[in-house]
Amino acid sequence: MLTRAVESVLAQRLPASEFEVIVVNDSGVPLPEADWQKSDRVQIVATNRRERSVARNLGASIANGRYLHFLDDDDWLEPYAYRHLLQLSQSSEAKWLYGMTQLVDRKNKPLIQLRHGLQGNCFMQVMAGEWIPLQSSWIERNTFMKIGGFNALLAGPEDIDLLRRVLLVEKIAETRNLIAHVIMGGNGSTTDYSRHPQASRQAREQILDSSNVFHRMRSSALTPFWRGRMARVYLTSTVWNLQRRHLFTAASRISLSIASILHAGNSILAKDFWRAISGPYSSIAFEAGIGEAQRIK
Amino acid sequence: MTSEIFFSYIIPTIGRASLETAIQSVLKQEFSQADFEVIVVNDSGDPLPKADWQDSPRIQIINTNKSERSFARNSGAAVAKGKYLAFLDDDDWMLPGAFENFWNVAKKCPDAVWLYGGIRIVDEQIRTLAEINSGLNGNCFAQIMGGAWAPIQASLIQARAFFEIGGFNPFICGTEDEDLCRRAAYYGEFANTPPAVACLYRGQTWTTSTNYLRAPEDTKYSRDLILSKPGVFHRLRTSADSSYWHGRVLRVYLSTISWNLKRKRLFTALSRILYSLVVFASSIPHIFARDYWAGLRAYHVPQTLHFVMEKYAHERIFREA
Repeated sequence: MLTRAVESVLAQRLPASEFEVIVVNDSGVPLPEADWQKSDRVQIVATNRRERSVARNLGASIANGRYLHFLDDDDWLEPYAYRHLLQLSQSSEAKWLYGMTQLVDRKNKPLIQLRHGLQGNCFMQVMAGEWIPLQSSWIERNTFMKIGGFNALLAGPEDIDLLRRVLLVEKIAETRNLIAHVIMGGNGSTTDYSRHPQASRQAREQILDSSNVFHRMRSSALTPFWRGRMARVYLTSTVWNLQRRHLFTAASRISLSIASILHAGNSILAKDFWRAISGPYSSIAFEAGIGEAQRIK
Repeated sequence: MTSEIFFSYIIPTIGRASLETAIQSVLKQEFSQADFEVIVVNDSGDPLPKADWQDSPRIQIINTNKSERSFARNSGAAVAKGKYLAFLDDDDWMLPGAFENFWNVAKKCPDAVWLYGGIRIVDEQIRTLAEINSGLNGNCFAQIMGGAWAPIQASLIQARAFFEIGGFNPFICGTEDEDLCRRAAYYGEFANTPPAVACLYRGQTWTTSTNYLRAPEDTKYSRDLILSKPGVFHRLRTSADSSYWHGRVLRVYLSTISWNLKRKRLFTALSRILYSLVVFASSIPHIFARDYWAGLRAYHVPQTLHFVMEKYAHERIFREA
């Protein structure tokens, strides 16, 4: 599996001087010999069975590139993936660049394609559950370092947590090209963030404690639906903190809930606003993909 | 497969010439009880000049690409195989017998997450300016939060605990070692060995990559993050074992009030005010002790670098005058 992943990178239609491959072997045992290890583009470093985040942060810190791309060992790239992302980087100042993802099942059977449509400041959207696979993304290394890299204490939702922290300060840009094939566990029904709801909530609470969050959400919540989502973020956080007897934090969240409803203005007359407040979080891109797959069937 | 390596020495470097001394002080330790490895994290962005120590089988070099100190150190930790981690800077060095002392204290207190010994401060002629050891054992959360020093250069940190608490915080640049120490004190117990094990150079030619102007703010940020964790109040109370440290705990809470107010975090500030009142109420038996007020008022705790260096600076000014 790892060989397929590495070879899909080495086969990129891009001059070899434009990229390097860092394989972080976290298995605790040496890797079996393979042809790709002879490539001078490849560097292997061994970690000693640490969490994914620790291994990825290590890879990022030894990387020399302007952008970082994190690929898992069971996923693979489209041959022109890097060229599309490179082109996008030349026309965009966004620090997180991404394209489309083809989800496949364990038998490599295509499931659905994810088209996210997120552009610019989308902090509100990612706070409410929109998610972009790392496998289809380039993240500027300086930005990655500045926000502290992956949170090593999160096992599972560390990718969406990184996306949220990047978008709290930076913008995102999309290319309408297929970038990566990503294997989904089980029947393709689970995503990273719903697999670890507890850790995911905790990570979001930490982000809500950062400065400028309210302002950033407001400026990315431009429709009644997203304004409703914004109020929901604070309302659910109020409940979460009350359950844990964080009374002062809960008090702070409830006042921000009220503030976000007041800021919503006319939006509170829209049906969408109330639908967003009452409905559970979901990834719109993900659901659209599933809907399409079912239609084809 | 568990590793047999007892400890991993992680030495981040920005390419200073003093690196050689640091590495030799580790490689030349007389120590046969267990195996150890040395990981040199070269964060200078350029290859290291060729040197003899690079041929040692204990040495592993990883090149991080100007990633800042916390990232570089966390990277070293990620590749380490030892049961304990040690972090040495490229301008400090270990004293003979250090590993022997570490080994003994590790045998005696296998559950401690942070083992440390004394530290010797020297000037350009390698004259001893001071030897510092705060001598803390067991749960010393109040002491560490209150400013007591367990210098990272003289410490071994249990690798499991290091990853459990998330390693170095990359947002704290300069005093990330003290932040790690606070989180370790929150998480587990300390064990101390009296002799000095490491040497810290503070001569007049000493230069640093640390931005000390940021340190006070970073310290408050670090403390505030920890104060938001569950069970902190209880752990502070159970470790405050004298009037001095009761006063110190109150100071910790009081100082975060203004920090939160400045950042308009009103509800957190309110919570800290409430806790300050509770801390004050629970320390009423101590308020007639002079130590209590000393703890509350002191800027630096005795047996810390600031405290000693201030004294040294005073003496030098006095001498020169």
